[in-house]
Amino acid sequence: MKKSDNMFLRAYSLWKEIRHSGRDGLSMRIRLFAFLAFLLFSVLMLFLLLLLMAGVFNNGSKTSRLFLENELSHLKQDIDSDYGKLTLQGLSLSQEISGNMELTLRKQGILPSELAEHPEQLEALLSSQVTLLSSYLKNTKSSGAFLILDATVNPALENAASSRAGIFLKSAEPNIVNAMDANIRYLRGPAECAREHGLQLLPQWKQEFRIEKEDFYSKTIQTAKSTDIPLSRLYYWSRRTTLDGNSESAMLLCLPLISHDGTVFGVCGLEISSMLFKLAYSPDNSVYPRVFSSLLPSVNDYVNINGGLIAGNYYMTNYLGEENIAIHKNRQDFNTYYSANGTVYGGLQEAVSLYPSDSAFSQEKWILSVMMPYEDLENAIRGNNSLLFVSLAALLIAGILAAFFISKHYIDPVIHAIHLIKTGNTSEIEKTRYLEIDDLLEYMNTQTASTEPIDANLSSYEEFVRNIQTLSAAERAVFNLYMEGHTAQEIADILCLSMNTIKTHNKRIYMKLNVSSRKELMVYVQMMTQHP
Amino acid sequence: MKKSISVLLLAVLICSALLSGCSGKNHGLNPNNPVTLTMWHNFGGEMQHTMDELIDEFNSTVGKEQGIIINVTSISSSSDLQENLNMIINGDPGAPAMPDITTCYPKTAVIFKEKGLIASLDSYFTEDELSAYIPQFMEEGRLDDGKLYVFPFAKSTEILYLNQTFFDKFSKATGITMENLSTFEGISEAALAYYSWTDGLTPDISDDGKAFFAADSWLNLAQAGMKQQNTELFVDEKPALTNDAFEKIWDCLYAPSVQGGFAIYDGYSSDLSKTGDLVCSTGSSAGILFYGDTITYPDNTIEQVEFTILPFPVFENGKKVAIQRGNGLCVAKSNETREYAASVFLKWFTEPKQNLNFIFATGYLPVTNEAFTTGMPALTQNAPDERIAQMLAAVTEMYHTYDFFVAPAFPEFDSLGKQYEQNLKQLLSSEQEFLRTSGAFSSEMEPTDINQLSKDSLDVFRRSF
Repeated sequence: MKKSDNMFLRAYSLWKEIRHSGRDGLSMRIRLFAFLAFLLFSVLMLFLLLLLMAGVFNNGSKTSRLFLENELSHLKQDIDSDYGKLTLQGLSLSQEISGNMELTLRKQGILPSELAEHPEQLEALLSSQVTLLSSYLKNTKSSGAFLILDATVNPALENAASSRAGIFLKSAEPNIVNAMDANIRYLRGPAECAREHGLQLLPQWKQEFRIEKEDFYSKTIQTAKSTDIPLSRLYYWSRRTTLDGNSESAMLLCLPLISHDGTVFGVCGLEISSMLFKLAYSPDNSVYPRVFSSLLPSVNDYVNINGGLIAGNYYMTNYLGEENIAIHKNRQDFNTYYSANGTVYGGLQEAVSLYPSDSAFSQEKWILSVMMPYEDLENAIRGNNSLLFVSLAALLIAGILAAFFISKHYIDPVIHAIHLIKTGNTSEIEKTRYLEIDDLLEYMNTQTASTEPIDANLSSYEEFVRNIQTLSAAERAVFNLYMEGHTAQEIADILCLSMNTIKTHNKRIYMKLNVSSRKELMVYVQMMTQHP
Repeated sequence: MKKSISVLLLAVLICSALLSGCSGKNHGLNPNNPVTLTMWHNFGGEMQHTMDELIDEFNSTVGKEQGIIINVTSISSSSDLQENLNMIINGDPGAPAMPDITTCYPKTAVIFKEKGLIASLDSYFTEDELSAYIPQFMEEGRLDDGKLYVFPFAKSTEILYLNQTFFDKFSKATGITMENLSTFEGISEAALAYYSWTDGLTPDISDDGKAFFAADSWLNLAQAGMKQQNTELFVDEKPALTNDAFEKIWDCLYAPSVQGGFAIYDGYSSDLSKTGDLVCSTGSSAGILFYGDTITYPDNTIEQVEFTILPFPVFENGKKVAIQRGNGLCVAKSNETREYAASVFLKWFTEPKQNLNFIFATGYLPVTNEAFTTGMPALTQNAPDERIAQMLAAVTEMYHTYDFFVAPAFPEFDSLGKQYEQNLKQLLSSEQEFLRTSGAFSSEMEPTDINQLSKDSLDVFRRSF
């Protein structure tokens, strides 16, 4: 029979015992197993209760929330700082360009309001600002710098009404600020300007801007023309936009160009592209790979995912087709965001103030959020608890196995001894090293020996007497006290020895004197006293 | 008791071995704990949207199943990306971190390999998988140790882009024909004539003629020219400029360059084409999207034009040889899990379906036999962009009639190549400036005088190395 079969048979027999228990009483093994199992179960329940009270099962949710809060806090700080700084730099750019251009025009005897009537001046005007735009591009955390004049180089053309002269410079490495050797490329503007300044045209280059598709231009310029508030209240952050013919989308910081006489003659600004936003504001994705941050315009309970920028591992092109995402704050820990295509996200958000309260655009609300697909959040929460439950289950199983083996190991020798006792051969039983059992066996041996007749003849007696000489001093002392008729306990007391020591001596005495029991010993002692 | 414990321990050991075996099969990838690989590429502009969609598709399908996320952290022009890679190679201060996957030319890969920065990819592909790729493309990616480091991905050749509308006007006025455009000598002759003709259109202004031709890469032109004449531009890893073959190339370039018929320009030729400042140019077949169907003049008027794609010109009496170029994808040396993850992406990205999707959006060539021989011809008829369809038809024809060569990939090649371009442009620009201001050059000069100037200039050029 295989060993594994043996184990299964034992387990099966234990199971049968448990099933039939109660009819004739319970075995020691079942009792012990039950006791141990109950003890284990109680300890585990107590442990579970402690965990519940300590809120450990909410740890997954707490951990996720803490992560989102931390990321949101850091990113908000960065965005507040960077966007604020960029706004100040944009204001400075607008003032410099406005001043430079106004001066240049006045030298030509042209008023800023007459700019559109002098298209021949446009190329030179634009060219004169390329160095300034390049400088701002190199020294700000932006991916582009632009300038659009409210004029076109050829008013006679059919599409002149929607065409505007300008310059748009793009940085090839927007995330590197103050680079000595920034790679600047030319997206819009007169080709000759680019060649003069050694700038390469981008493949999507066009000479002028088509403003009918660029609402950032019209919004900025119309608002500046229709209000009389300071420049610092007229800047506008566009929603995510892709310039006509361009491929990369961006948020544009747009500022009007205003001369001293109040003429609004163009727009300038700085760009934060999708790639720059991604490089600068991606949350830590080492724990949640699909977590992303987003700066989105919000209206009531919706955020417009098409209108903002996203930073994360993905381009999210699959999700960018959505117009609006509904925000629900229906969980204690997280907001849920529902998109029209059924994708649900979980995360946290905070309002971002891009404008002062008296800005012309203060009604525009923006939200910074850190979120991830909801299934990722749930998996993280479940994962934490799953580990705990798996560990507890493993402990329980291990405990039951241990109870099984301990009870078996503890009781087996007892059962074995009982079995041998039943067979009547107590003298052949080896020491079990269970004191009580060994003592019982010795007692039983003694009783057995006392009922058996002793066959003592002369030769065995003479042998007995000879063998007395072989006893050691300690053994002789014990023997002498037996001769005086003392019991084993009395001898232990007299000699100040333990019962175990007396038993050891007894065993050696019996062996040396070739007797099998105390009774037989006493028969020979009797013979000695009768024949000294 | 002891036996029971032994059985239990044995069971635990077996289970552990089985589990570790399971994770080993997928090289440590775990969908529940995906590995994120950073990627740089140079497919911006009109190609960017397709790349973004393909990468997102990978991330949400194969990547999600196997636990791989591709995160693009840089999209820049080929030259800008090359500069960043050079910064990494040189260990320059402020150099960015090496991406896990990057587009890369073999000439750069060879240096990365010497510095132990890139992984060889052979062990991540079976023989069958590798045999699916066009052998020449695969060979180009193998470096001197025979191992594959540059995975074929975006291949191209060089062709001649012609503004047919402008040429037709010029041809009608001067008698120069399309035949001129089949040889570099013919192009040289046409360039001299074009400059004179355009200069003559403004009789009140002298020396304002326009350039006819430019090469995106004068180095590649010279390499191809030498191959066409059965010799090499680089011998023993040094430029070989003293032979007759190179003199022939130089003679072709000199006169139109100093006159102005050839544009010596630092940027892409397409920049000049967009503004009507060039009629034809040689450049990568993948540059097709850079050529629109309009020319914009300084007064913002726009002219509709037609471009024609012609085979790469050949030097007279030379063989039909053109360069095989384009970059591939290199994988940073890291650990088995990341390298394997990168290979999963490469495999998926170059499968015919994705590869064809990519080439029809970019103008590069397919890299697998199946895509090249079956997929491309079938789809060319209905290509979403007419320009790409025209280019693919022309290139397919070239692949039937031309031999192709790859640029050498020794460590100094990149720097020597840059030196060649720089020295050539500087010398010819300064000669042009000098000869113009001194009036020492005109189209009426005797050929012998022009030849002497050309020889003198060639001597200077040779000495500059």
